[in-house]
This record gives sequence, C-alpha cells and structure tokens, in this order.
Amino acid sequence: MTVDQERELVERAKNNAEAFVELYDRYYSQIFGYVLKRTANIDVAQDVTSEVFFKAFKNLRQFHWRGVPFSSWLYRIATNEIANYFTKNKPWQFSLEEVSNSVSSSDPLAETELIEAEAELRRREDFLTLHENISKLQLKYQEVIVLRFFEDKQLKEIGEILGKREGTVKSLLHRGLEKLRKLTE
Amino acid sequence: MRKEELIKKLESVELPKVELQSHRRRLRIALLNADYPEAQREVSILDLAKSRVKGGIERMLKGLVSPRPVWKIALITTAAIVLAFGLAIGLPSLIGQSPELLAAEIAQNSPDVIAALGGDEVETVKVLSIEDNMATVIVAGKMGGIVNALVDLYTKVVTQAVSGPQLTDEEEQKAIDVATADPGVQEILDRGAVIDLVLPMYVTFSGINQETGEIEQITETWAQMWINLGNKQWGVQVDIIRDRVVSITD
Repeated sequence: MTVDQERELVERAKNNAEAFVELYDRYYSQIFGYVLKRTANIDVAQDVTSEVFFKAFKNLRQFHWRGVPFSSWLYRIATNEIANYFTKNKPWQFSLEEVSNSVSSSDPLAETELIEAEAELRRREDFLTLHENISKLQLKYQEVIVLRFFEDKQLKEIGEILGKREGTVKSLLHRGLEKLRKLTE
Repeated sequence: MRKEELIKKLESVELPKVELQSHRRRLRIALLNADYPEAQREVSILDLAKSRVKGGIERMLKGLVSPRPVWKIALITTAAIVLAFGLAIGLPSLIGQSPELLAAEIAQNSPDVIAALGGDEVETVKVLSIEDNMATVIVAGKMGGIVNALVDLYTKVVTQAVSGPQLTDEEEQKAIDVATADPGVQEILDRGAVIDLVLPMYVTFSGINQETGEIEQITETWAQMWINLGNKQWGVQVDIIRDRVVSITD
C-alpha cells in the first residue's frame, strides 16, 4: 500500500468502520508485538492492544497528516497506554516466574492459543532477562530502547512516534544504554 | 559488560513471536460493531484548559496552605509567584516579532540568566506564559543548569532570574505520574499527544511564618512539562510536593 493509498484509507476510516478495520488488519500484529515486548505479559498485551485500537477508532477524526505516518500515531497511542498501565499498576515489576498462567476463556481455541503464547514467551529466556533489566529503567529510556532494538525503528521514526527531536532520541538512547549496561553488570 | 556487547545482545536476542488469532478476531468484531463518537468540537480541550487555568490560582493558593500548616497565605496582592498563567495575554504592541520569541531572546541573552547558569551553555529556552507583559521563561543549560526568568516585555529586561538544579529522575517520574493520572492530561494524551519535555520550575511566594509572624519568601520546586500533538502544544504545571496538576495551558 502506498502512502497516498493509506492516507485515503485513513480518511475513509474516519466515517467507515470497515475501512478502519482494514487499517486494524494491517497494524494489529505490529502493535500487539510492540506492547508485548514492552510488557512481556500476554494478558496485559491483549488489554493494552485493545485499548490502543479503541482509542485510535475514537480519536481518528482528530488525526491529521502532518508528516507523521499513521503507524507512528498508533505506536504513540500504544506508548501512552503502556505508560498509563505502568503508572496505574505500580509497583509493577516483571519477573521470570511471573508469566501469568491465568487463562480465562470459554473458547477452547483461545485457551490453547494462550497456553502456546505463554510457552513461547517462557522459551525466550534471554529476552525475558533483558526485559527484566529494561523494565527497571525510567519509561523514557524503555521506550527508545525497545523501539530501536526490538522494533528495529530508525531514530527519525522513533522521534516521530515519541514527538521528540532526533537528537533528543539519540541522547536518550545513549543514556538509556549506559544505565542498562550498569544494570546488566 | 561493555556497551558494544550490550548493543550486540539487544540486536541479536530472539524475540517472542506470538500471534493470538482469537484475540485479533474478537477485537476485530468489536471494532466493526463500535459506534463512532459524536463529532467533537475542536475547542473542547481549549475550553478544558481555560477552565483549568481559571481555577488554577485559587487551587494553588489553597494547596499552599493545607499540606503545610505552619504557613498561611498572607498578602495575596503582594505574593510574588514566579509563575504566570497563560490566558488573557496582554501582548505588547510589538511589530514583527512575537512576544514569545522576544521573551526567549531577552532571557537567553540576559547577563543575569547567563550568570545564574554559571557558565553553562544555553540548550533549551521555553516560554511558559505571558501575562500583563511579563513572561515567565525557563532556560536550560547543556550541563543541566536551569534558570527560571521573569522577563518584562515593555522594558525588555529580565527582572528576576532564579537558578536551581535539574529534577532528579525520581522527581521527573513523579511529575509524569501525577500528570498522566490527571483526567485533563489523559484526555490530551489519548488523542495521540506525547510528553515532550519536563523541566523544573522554581515557584516563589510570600507567606507568614505562623511561629514568628514574619513574612517570608518561600521557594519550591515544581515541574513544568510540555505535551505536543502535531503543531499544538500544551504546558502542564505540576506541583510535585502536593501531587497535583496546577494548570494546563495551551
């Protein structure tokens, strides 16, 4: 999909739920993946992702193309929602033993999927160890580190998502890595 | 671990690959069935900001009394509050240069501000507000020094320059936590806005020391943050001593 096509789709989605769902289909995996990498918790990732898309749906009419791609806007809402989650749920520290086993669904397929998803998360021990240390950093450092290394975003794109200048992102990344390095010693 | 090793580890770590089709499907259906919100007036946030600001001074003064019983607000008319609220702006008749730009320029070139920065090079200049031709400006240095300056836009001089330390990481986080818990700020963030910058602001006011009866100057450190959404910007003043958002201005 070209930028112009996406722009046209976003405009249609402001009044047409089916058009919005096209955008949703396009970005669901990215946003869910980002939230999961930030929280390392399947249940939270589901809740936050749902909230992100409902907020995007509710506020889409206020989204205007000002050089920031739609995907960056979604990432931005997700980043705010994650910050909101962390703020409301303090103290919130993930530990390796804390991957939730709770599966509350009457749908057997959903139940199986959740069990598999949690098993997949448990298998990524190196990621969980890194995440445990990253989660001890201030949110501003967590945001840039996860976007840069786990989401493979360039500094310019991170700047668009966080509404910061590229130089600021670079400086946050530098300081964040230094703090993370000390934590991993 | 060296930084290069850490970067290599971050770049090569195997990330979880999780797809939850059931959640995706359920959410998709919910979105298809969701109703679009009523068209919102574009000014709703502005109205909110104005109403917040109108109550700002009153709430702030109340706030200064209750948590610290030794202080009472005394001569409100003489209270020197190094904080101005940004509505009802009395703009000077300046031609060709906005009052904000002028205030920023005067502040960053002021010998008082440069002296208060203690040799630190100016990195960021932010105009908090302008009222009655007095601008409140925060000047941040590259080495972390912060100066709150009051600029008289008629005489074009800095009438007061107060310096102090940067916020600690904990104070900055507290300011963000307090702000994001505020419904007004939350409403702005929900629109996709982001917190751009958090700086300390030094608030000075007069109060009576109840033990001595003397009028004394009290200076507190609060936080000023800027929230950006496209080309719109809001300023949020957070009293990090009493955990409250004092005002939201646009």
